[in-house]
Amino acid sequence: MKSPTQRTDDTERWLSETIEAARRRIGDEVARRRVWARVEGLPAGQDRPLRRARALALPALTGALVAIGVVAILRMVPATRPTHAPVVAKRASSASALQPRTDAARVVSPGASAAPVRTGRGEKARVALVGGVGVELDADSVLSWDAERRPLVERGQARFEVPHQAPGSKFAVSAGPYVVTVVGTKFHVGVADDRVSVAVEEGVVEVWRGDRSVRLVEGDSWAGPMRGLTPPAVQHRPPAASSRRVAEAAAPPESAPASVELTEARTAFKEGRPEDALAMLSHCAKGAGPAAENAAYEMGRVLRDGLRRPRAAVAAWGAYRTRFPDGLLRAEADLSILETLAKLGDNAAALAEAEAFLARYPSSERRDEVATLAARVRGAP
Amino acid sequence: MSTNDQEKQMAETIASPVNMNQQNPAGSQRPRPLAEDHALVERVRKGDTLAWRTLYERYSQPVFRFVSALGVPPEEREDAAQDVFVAVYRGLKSFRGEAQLSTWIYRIAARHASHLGRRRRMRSFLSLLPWHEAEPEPQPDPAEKASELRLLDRLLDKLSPKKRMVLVLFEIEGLGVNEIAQVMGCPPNTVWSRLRHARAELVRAARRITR
Repeated sequence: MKSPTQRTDDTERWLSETIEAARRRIGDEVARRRVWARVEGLPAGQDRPLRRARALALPALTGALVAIGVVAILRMVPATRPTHAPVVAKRASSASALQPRTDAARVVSPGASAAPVRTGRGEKARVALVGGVGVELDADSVLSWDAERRPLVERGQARFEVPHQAPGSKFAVSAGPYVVTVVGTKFHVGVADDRVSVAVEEGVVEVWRGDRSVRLVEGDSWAGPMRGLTPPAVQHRPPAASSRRVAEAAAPPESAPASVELTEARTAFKEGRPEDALAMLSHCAKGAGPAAENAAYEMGRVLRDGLRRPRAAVAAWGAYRTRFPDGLLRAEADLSILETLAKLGDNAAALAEAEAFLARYPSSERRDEVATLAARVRGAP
Repeated sequence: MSTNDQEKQMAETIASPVNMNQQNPAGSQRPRPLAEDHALVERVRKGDTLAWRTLYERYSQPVFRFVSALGVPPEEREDAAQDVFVAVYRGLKSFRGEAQLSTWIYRIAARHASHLGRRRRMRSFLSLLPWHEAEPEPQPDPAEKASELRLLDRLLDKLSPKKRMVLVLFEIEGLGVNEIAQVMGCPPNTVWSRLRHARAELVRAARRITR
């Protein structure tokens, strides 16, 4: 049996090691990329989905009382109201409510009249719909309801947050001639300059026009014309030459099929089918955009960790570097090459990589780690 | 005696109940303060998108790690990081360079994480109300498979927000005490005091679990 002192030592050792692991916690690279995609346009003045969060202006107790009041009002709303008619403003207390990402947000309570909700310049509004759907209406926007009582984005930008719908049920938003249907997701709909745009933050949405649709997954964006007869084409693969005119007119996102393929490749890899994963990644990497870049990088991981072909993995990461010399995963590719070469015992190449890394990333968080590795390689026989 | 020496001496005089490195070895994990940070800020102010990207590359990982360690659940981390960087971008216009850029970014992230923490506590309070739908349990980040890290997060959850922030800034993010004082807007002695208590409470909590 362990003595109390020994137990204490074990606890302290465990804490030290775990804190050390927490320091090395890298997090989700894909999440970092998604955030970058949202903030990269700031210097160009594109701050559409981006508003500074603000600390609660009211004391906590007052906030609690207000929130309780809102919840109580929500409880009193009859369940027989039309499915997506607006009923009340933001439900600050609910997990499915809108995140308070707007400041100076105007609370709108259109009631049963279903009158359009309009925001002026510099004004934003939050609208809550029955079913827990939250809408953030950006400045200079109009949200109304179409003949089928679906929310209709007439102008401007709206961000929808839709809780997961019951099986067989879909939530729909109209924008110009398009209908966006979702099962449960977060997405933006914009209407400006005779174009409708949709961007998906989470989940999957379908944009319908007539009987044709395009499917968008997380991270995808799409834009289509308001006028003209061309419907959005169903595009799950790069457009064939014969359908190019349709594809250009409806502008379905090239990233949609690539993203789907990337997700499928990851699933295949997780399920122990590295060959399938590699084939899909290879196809995906031939495309363009972020999905292709990710695929080009992930090919190396599949080759090394799934197929046990470290040399081929190094070659794949090398190809990534050649194609995306300033890619967002460039540092990861450099480190992957370095680690793989070191494991292979190719000390000369590993040392060259380490020195190149230290020169290229003087402020990298992993600089010390690489320097240690370089020192170890230098000392190796 | 330099400020660093003073900090080191103070660190050595504190009887740490756990074998955490007193001299803050986590310092290597944070972005180094760089002379070019100021040039970078200038370039971003002028609308240089490459400089903005460099700034994001340099600080996004620390921001994600920091908000994670402060208990922001995985599903809120992206929004949190986004809001931090929006605030950073907007604040750069008035950033005077009196503090290091990293300190300033940590301050923004800390403020935002505190705000989210208050909101979470509010939601959890409201979820106790009989007519309110129960809050779904936060799901673990699938990218973090290490159960030890999740256990550490649970232990950190037991600390008060201020103690947790001090501990995270010192032990995980590697900031010095004076810098933490700047981030939190409190005197350095308060930081030392909170750090001492936080360490003691963390060890006690860990012992209860490992007993």
